[in-house]
Amino acid sequence: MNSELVHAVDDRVVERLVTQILRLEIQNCRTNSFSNPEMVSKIQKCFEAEVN
Amino acid sequence: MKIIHLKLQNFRQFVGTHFVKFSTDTERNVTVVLGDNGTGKTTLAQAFRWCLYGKTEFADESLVNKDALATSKRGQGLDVSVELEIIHRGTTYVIERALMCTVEKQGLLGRDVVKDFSITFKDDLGKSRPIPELELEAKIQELLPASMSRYFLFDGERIHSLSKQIQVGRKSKEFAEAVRGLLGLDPLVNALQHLDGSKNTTSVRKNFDKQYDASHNSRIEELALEIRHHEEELDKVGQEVSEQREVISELENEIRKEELNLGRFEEAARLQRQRKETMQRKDGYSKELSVELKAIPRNVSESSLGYFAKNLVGRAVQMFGELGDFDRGIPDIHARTLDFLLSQKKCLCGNDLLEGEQHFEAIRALKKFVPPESLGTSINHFLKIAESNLRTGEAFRTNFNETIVRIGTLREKISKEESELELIDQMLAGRDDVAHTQRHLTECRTDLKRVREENERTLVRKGQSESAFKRAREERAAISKGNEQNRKIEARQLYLKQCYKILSDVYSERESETRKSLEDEINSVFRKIFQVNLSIEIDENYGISVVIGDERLSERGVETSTAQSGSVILAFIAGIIALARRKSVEDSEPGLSLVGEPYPLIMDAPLSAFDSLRIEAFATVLPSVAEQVILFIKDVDGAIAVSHMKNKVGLSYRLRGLSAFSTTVEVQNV
Repeated sequence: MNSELVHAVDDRVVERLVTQILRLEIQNCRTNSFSNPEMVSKIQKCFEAEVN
Repeated sequence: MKIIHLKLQNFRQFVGTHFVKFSTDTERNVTVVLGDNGTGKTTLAQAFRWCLYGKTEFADESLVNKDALATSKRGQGLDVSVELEIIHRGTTYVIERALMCTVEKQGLLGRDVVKDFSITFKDDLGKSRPIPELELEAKIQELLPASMSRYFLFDGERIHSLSKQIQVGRKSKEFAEAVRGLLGLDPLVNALQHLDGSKNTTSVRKNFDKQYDASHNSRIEELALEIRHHEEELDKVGQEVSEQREVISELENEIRKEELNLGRFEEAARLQRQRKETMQRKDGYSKELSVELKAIPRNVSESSLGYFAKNLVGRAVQMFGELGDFDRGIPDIHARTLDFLLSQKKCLCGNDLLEGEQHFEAIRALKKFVPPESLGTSINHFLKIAESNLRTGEAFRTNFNETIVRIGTLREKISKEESELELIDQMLAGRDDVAHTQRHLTECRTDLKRVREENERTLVRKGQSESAFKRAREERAAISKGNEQNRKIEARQLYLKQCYKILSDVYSERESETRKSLEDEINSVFRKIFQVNLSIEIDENYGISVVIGDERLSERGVETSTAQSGSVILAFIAGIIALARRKSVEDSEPGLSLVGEPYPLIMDAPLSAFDSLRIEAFATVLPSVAEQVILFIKDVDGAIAVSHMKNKVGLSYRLRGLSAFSTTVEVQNV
């Protein structure tokens, strides 16, 4: 991947994203409420909110 | 979680209502349900599964009692239900699953079946409250997740099928899934799949790929097509690689197995040679024995007289000896010879023999000592024969003794060779055809070579696709710099990649830790069962090896027996429960783990693959493995098991079959 962009990654943002993703996944494992496409969409929104 | 009771109504062979209470005692934590085959042990065990998850493993899916159905009239309603009362984290829940059917005609149910599922719990005031319908599934997931239930609701058949996996180097899916489920690794696996799953599944990365703005640069669109093409190719190639690896692994296992067989055939060939040599030795000894046995009558007839008459003849010889010189006769001279000399009046020496003179009288006196008058000559003759016989008799005795010793030795040797032959025959029994194995082995080796070559070619293709995919993405990243929208997407892709890496690392680390913990727990139980230096190892591919001391059985090519691999499985279940219980203590704060509380262990016919010694060992260990143990056992196994768990059995039942479709549950004294 482009080296210029690699340096642009903010660890705090990565941490927040990982936490959000896991929270969503754990919740869904407990309740089994969302389908795979729905989960993909939810996670995608996390990225869009954090990285813009 | 502990199970308080199970209530059945018209469920399979349980006609009417039946109530089974389970021991929740901390000391006497075992409930035993004994019954002959076909009396409904499996039905009871399956009732748990149906009540919790609405599923059973019966070949005949009909749950309605056939007796009840046969005696019901047209239009009559028939209820089938299973109710479970459990206690979970201090709260009592009643879970009920029911079917309401209408009898269309006698013996036949109508098509309309009303299904009902409910969970109620007792609040702080002891009042029953229902769980809202929308939360029912989540509640069951909380009480006992379906994915984990297989490790707490166990049947003998599954133990048998699992034991097949515990063979030389065979990967165990069950173990892998257990490790994943046990520490709540499913959220991690799902997260990785959702971020950048392979194959045709949707993923965040794929969605981002679709969002690039190509309006200002047509190359973006071309690259998107290229990337999609490479992705599809990578999925396809990935699938091929995975299939090839599976085939390679299977062929390697097959080759290992046949090599073991061939090794046994080599052993068989060696045994055959050994058998031939033993047979030759035995035949040689038999011939020698035959010669010795044939010689005995001949020797007896020739030489035994002197031996058997020894005492009598000896005494005669002695007696004649004591009589002194009784034989003064001239050998071979007859009385008629002497009469002739006397009548001729001339001795043989030339002297004259005149009547009345000394020589004449001497010759006449001699007549008394020559035949026919001479007894002495006869005795002397007898004595000569007797002495000869005495000498022969002595030799006969020595020879006879030596012959008897030789016969004894030969018989011992023959017996030893016969025992060896018997042993060799036993070892040779049940061997397959060497040629068939050799042929199969050659085929497998040829196939393995071919699949490996294919795999190498596929890997080259995969490498080419990966490079092309990477190049296209890098080019797109470079072009994207000039467009705000695309720059954002590139940044998100980068964060996605970073998140994926972190989650993937966490997964690997936790998976490895859990696998090791599970291995430790299994071995702790395993050692208790076997009480020898026997343990198992779970490698990173979940291949299971049985290890004695420092020697790995699979490497030595020793097949694990059904009973032994069955024991590994039981130790495995016990290990999971022990680990789950330990984790429930550790996980006092919300974390990744989905395991919150110990689970009961419900086992249907778990001892069928065990000999009485293993049943004893397992029965001794089982009560300490789970906080609540419910066992459905055959009468024969049950008697042994119960005798070794006596002070741990809190409640005991016997199932008594009244007919093919009707069973009663009888409480037994413990």
